[in-house]
Amino acid sequence: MPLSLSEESYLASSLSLRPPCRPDGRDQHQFRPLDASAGILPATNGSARIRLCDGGECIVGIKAEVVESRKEDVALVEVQCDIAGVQSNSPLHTFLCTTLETALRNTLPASRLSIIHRYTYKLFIDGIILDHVSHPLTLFSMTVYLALLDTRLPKLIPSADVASTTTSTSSSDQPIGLPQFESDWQESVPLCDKAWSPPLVQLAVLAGKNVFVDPTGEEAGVGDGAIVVSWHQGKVVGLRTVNTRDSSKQVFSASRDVTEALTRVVS
Amino acid sequence: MSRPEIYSPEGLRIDGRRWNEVRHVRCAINTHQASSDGSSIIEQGNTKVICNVVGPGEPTGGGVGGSGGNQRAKDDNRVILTVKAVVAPFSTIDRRKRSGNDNRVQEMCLTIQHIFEEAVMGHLQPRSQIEISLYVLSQDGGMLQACINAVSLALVDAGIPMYDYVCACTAGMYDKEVLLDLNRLEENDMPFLTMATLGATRKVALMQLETRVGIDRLEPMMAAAMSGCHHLRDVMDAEVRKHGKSRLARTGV
Amino acid sequence: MSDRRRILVPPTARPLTFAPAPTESSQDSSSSSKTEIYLRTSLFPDASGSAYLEHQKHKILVLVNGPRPQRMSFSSTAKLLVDVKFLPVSSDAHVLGIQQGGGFDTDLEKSLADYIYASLVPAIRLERYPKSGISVSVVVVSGPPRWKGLVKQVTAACVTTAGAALVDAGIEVLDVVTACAVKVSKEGAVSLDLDETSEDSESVDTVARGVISSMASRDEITGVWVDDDTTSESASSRSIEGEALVAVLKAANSGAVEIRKLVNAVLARSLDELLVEKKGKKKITKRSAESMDS
Repeated sequence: MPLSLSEESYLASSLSLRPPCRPDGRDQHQFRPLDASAGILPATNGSARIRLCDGGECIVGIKAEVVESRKEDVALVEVQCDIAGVQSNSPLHTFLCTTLETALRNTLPASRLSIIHRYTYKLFIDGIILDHVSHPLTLFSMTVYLALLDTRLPKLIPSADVASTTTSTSSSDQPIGLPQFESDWQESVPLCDKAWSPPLVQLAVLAGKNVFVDPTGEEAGVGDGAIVVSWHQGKVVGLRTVNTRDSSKQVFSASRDVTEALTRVVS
Repeated sequence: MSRPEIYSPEGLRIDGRRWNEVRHVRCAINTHQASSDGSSIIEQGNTKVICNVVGPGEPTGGGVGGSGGNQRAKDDNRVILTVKAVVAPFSTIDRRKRSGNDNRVQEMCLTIQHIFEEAVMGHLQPRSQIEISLYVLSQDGGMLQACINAVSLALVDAGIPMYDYVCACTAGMYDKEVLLDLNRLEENDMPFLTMATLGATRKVALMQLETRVGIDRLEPMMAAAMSGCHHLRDVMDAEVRKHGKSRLARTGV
Repeated sequence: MSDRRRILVPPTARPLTFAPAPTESSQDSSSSSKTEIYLRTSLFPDASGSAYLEHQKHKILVLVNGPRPQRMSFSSTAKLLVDVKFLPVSSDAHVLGIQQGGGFDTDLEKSLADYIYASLVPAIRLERYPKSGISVSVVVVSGPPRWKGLVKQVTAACVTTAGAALVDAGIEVLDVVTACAVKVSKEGAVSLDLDETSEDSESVDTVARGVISSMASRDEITGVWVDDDTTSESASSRSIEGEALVAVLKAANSGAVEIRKLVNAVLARSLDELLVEKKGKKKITKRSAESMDS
C-alpha cells in the first residue's frame, strides 16, 4: 500500500536524522534477517535459494555448458531472470541482468572457465524471483553469489587432455580433442576457491547524509537517491547511481557526499 | 550406446520400482507464509514444483492469455482463477530457455485453470479472484501431474472451499505391461496418459493422452492411474492433517 | 482559365535561398584538453528540441519531444522517457550484438538509456508539467570503430547532448546537465577520457573507467557510473576505493565543468540566433554567458 504524503515526509525526516531512525529499528549498515540454502537442485551445477523476512524470495540455478572458445570476446556468463508479477523484458529485468553480468564479466577471469585449449565452460545463471517487496537487486545478487559458491564443475580426466593434444591430427571416432570428464560427481571441482570469489552487487539508499544498506521498499521510495555498488573480494569494482523515484527534487548531494557515503558502505 | 532397459524380465523398472509403485512423494504446505495466502512444495521423484496462491481477493483483470476480461463479465457470480506457470530454464538436463508465452506452458495453465474451476466451490466467492503461480524447478517426467497436485495442496492451505483434493497421476503402457508414475526416460519411450480424479472417488477431472495407444490397452492404464491418484490423495491428506495438527499444537488449543 | 492541376505558389512566395553553411565558430576546445567538440542545437524544427554533438568518432543526435499530454492515468508530474538507438552503421555495435546471440546489443542500449534517464531526471522540473510526457530519443549515429572500453565516453557524450537538447526544447530545468568520462591507469593516475581513440583503449594500462553527470553551477552530481574494466588478474593491485574514488569523482566533475562552459557558449549563441531571427534585422547585442553561468 502506498504511503500517504505525511507518512512519507515522516519517514524521510526520520531517515535523515543523525543518527538515523529506521522504521524497523535496524542499524544503518544492518541487513534484514534472511534464510538461505544452497545446493537445493541436484540437476544443476549450482543452486541457491534466499528468502527475506518480508516474503521476497529468489531461486537461482546455474548450468555450465561446454562451448568452443573461438575468440576472446565470447561472453562466458549469461544472466537471465524471471520476476513474478513483472512483464518479461521490462527495464527491471535488463537492469538486474546487465548489472550482474557486467560485474561477473569484469571480475571472472576466463582461465577459471577454460577446460583445454579449444574448449571452455559457459555459465548460464538463471534466476526466478518468486516475490519481491523491496528492490530485488540485493536479493538477486546475494542468491547468485551463493549459487556460484555452490557451483561445481566436473573434473577433467587429465589423460584426455594429453591425448587431445597429441592425437589432434589422427582421426578417431570422436571429435578431435573433445574433453573427457570424470563421471563421479564427488570428484567435481568447485568453481570458487580462496583465490576467487564471486562479486556481490548491493543497493544502498541515500537519505540526507545517511546511507542505508538493504533498504525496504518504503525506504527506497523516500530516499534522495540510490547507488549500486559492485563488490569483489573486499574491493569496490563498480559504482552506479540509479534513481528509485521519479521526482525532480531528488537531487543527491555533491560529490563529497557520495564518496563519504561510499567509505561508510565499505566499512 | 546401450539403451537402458525400461522394464526388466524380473519386473523391475529403470529406477528399481515395480510396475505399480509411484515415486517417492514429498510434499509440504504453508511454505511461503509471508508472500502468499497458500503455498506448497511437492517433489515427485526428481520433479519439483512450488505453488503460491494469492486470494481470494479483488480481481485485478487479465487472466491466462488475456481472457480475464471477457470471463469476468460472463461469470460474475463465480470466482475467477488465474494460473501462471514459470518453467525454470535450469529445470531440464540441458538448459532450455522457454519464452513467457510458450505454447505448452500456456496450455498447461489453461488445463489447470479448467480443472480447478470445477473443483473449487466458486459460487461461494462471487466477484473475486484467486491467483495461482507455479514454479517448476526441476522436471523428471510428470510435470502436469506434479503441478496439479501442488495447486491442490496450496488451495487447501489457502483455505479455499473445495469439493475434494484433485490428485493427478500418470500411467504408461510398455508392451503389454502397465507402468505407474513414469519418469522422464519412461515418458519418452512409451504411450502414457495423465489422469486427475476428484479425491478418492471415481470422478475423473482430467484425462490427457497425447500418444497413440490401442483402445484395448486404455482401460488397464486408466485403472492403474486411478489407483495412483487415490494413493496420492492419501499422501497429500496425511500431510495436510499433519500440518493442521502441528498448527493446532502451536496455538495451544 | 487557371491551371488547376498544379498547386500554385502563394502570391507572397520568394525564391529559395540557403543560409550560409554553419561556420566552425561553435567548435570550441576546452582548456584542459586539446579535444575538439562540436555541438549545435535546434537542428530539427519539427522536434521540440534537438542537439547534435561530434567528438572524435562519436556523432550523437538527441531529439526531445514534449511536454505532450498523456492519455494514461493521472500523474502530478511529467513522465520522462529515454530511449537510445545505435544506428546500424555506427561502427561495430552490430558486431557486438551478433556475438551475443543475434540482433543488436540491446542490453547496452537499455543500460545506456537507464543511465541517461537517471542523470537527467533530477535536473528537470517534472512537477511543472503534470499529466504530460517528455520523450528524449538519443541516436548514436556513429560511434568509435571499436566499442571495447569506450562505452563510458559515448555515455558521457549522450548525456551532454541530451542536456543541451532539453534546454533547446524550452523545458524547465534546474541546471544544464553535462557529463565527462574519466579513466584510471594502473599507476593510479586519473585522466579525462576525452581524446582516447579505440587503438589506445586496447592497452592494458587502464584499470577503471567512469562517467559522471553533474549540474555544474549547482555543484551537484546527478549520476555516477564507474566500473573496473579488467578481470581480476591485472586489477588485483589497484581498486577504485576511498581516496582513489574521490580523485576519480573530482577529476570527472572538473571535466564536466569544462564541458559545461562549451555548452553554455553554444546555448547562448543559439539564443542569440533565435532572437535575431525573431526581431528581424534588429541587431541584438551578444548575450554574455554570465546569466547562465551564475
